[in-house]
Amino acid sequence: MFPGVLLHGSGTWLQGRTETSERLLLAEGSGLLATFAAGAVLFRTGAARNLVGPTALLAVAGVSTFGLSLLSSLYATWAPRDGWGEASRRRALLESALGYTYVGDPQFAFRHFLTTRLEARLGAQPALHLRLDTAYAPDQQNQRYELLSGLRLLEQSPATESARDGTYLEPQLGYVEHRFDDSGFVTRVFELQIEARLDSARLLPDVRGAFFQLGAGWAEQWFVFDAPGVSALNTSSLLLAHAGFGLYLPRASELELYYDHRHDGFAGGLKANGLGSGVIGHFGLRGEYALSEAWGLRAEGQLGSAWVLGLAGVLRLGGERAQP
Amino acid sequence: MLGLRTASLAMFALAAGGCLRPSEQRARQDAEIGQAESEALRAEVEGGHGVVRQLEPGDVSLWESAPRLRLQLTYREPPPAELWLEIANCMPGAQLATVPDVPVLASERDASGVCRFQLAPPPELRDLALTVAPPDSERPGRFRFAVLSDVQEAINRVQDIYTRLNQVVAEPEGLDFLLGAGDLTERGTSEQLERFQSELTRLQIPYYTTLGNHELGQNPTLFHDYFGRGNQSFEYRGVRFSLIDSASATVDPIVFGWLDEWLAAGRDQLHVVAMHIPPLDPFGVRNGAFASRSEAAKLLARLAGGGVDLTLYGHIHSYYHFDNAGMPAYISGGGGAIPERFDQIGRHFLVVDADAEAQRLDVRLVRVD
Repeated sequence: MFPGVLLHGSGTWLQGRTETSERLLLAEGSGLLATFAAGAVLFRTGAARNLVGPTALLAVAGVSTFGLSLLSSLYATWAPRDGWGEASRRRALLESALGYTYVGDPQFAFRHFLTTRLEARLGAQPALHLRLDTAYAPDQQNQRYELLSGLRLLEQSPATESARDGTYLEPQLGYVEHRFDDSGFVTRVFELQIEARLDSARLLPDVRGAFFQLGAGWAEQWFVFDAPGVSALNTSSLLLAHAGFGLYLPRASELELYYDHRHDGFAGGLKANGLGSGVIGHFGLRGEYALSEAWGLRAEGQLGSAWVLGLAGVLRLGGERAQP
Repeated sequence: MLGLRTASLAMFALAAGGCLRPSEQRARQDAEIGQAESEALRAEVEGGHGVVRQLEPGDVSLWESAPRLRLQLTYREPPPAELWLEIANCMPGAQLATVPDVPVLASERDASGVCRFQLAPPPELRDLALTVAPPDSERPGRFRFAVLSDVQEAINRVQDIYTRLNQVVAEPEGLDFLLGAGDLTERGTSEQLERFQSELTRLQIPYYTTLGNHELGQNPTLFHDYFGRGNQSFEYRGVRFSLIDSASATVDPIVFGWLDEWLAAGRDQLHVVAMHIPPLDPFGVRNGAFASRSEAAKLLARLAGGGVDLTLYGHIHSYYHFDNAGMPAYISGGGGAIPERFDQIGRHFLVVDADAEAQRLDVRLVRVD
């Protein structure tokens, strides 16, 4: 295990899987190179305003590539060659979820949220993807609404494919409103990002049953201050980046460990002493479990400026389904 | 096995708790600043506006971290015939007043900014309240102060800045003190903190500061031993100043409690708030700012609602002027640490003209290079 942590792909190399080992090593090297290159630019330019956007994205990409290659290396070495599951054979037309989320944020009194999700996938290739998420704390005057629309590209139809592949690419447009009425402000975010899922076998031919969940984009955040004696508006941009390593599990279930660079939202960014103060985003673990064709469970935990733990029941209706 | 799992979970929860409140320990340390006790006497500095460095019956030494210092000494036995009070980082023109009235045999302020007072307390004295401040410090009026942050590894060149500051001191309007917004040092080691204080001896005015993320490298509370509280509030000539510890990209909930009191106290005054890491970075994708945007907005809403007139920040090694929640905001990270390139700014500090009667705060940039 330890050689694999230092030298990604050493485990698979000992198993004689040379191509996979080379690609993991290449990913590790690329990640380190991107991280050090970005670090050098940030250091030399003092995080200059004109360069910091792409450079910070390169830094996140570098660290994420390193992290994903590490997790891939461990998975490739220890997991069964075909993994523990495969991408879901179900593309539901409508999906709804009702759940509960606990937010442990020392800065705010709110803790308990009722959450809902309504999601639709309209049309065939490319499918229009619409999603509305809400979180509501009845006693604390705090509500969050997230509206997302995306165009799902490069996705294999479950009805036509025999080998399952969850790969897709989705340009997205989103709007988020978060009301903190008790604290006298509302934040609104308009975001543009590209989200993608890449099955591990696309990069590492003999590593199946896992996926990389990636996202990058830009957002503008409006802060509307409305309290006694205060009426003001500020805007600030946000770098969006997401990197996750996921596992397909039996019964059309999946698990993803991820880093997300967002600093808005309940989790915010990770608090740290020292040089990283304020820059790092949050980490999360997300899982979905299908109880039946229609019913399922979704759970998610995040650690940033706050603890976030959520559990929701999911109902899926209609859509495409592959023949067993 | 179950015990190991429980212990692991407990450790994980503890670590996570630490992640959520990284500045809690420093806030608790703040509450201890200015209090000291020996067998013979006890000292308490009001508002934590000073660090007690030495406490002997005949010799009390402090570092002053605000323009007015009120010290309460309580003797458990008859005091010695002579009491020496030594106050480093003392305001020019500071005078000593005591209750009850105790003869002051000698007083001086040396070139390094240390005030020394020799007192002759009567043998029956047990409680002595001392105030050290310039005579006009409580009278609202016009004065100037400067703002400097982010010296870090540029300590070898800091005398250039102090020379320029001393030139401003010599101007007819003068300069009353220098306010620091953190990142004095590279790593916050005792050697670096000592070096910073030794360099300050050539500055002709006192220096009041909070800490930055670079002070957290060795021991998060070492800064407090040298410069006092990371969070504090004081009043000078009708203007309230609040220094906030945002070095961990957050403000601890304990400090939010203190802040409410300081905002209430400064409600009818000009109020200047300074901290190291700004709640919001004017260039958001960089996020040289709070870890949580929601917390940032909460703090800004609280400050704006409390009538704060000026917010001052460091951390970003350039100069920015913008507004946050309707309050004027300045980032001034011009102490010489790795500068933000292509901004045409270089080393600099801010000079603020304050007029409590006219309710005005005018800020200007002073370049050093």
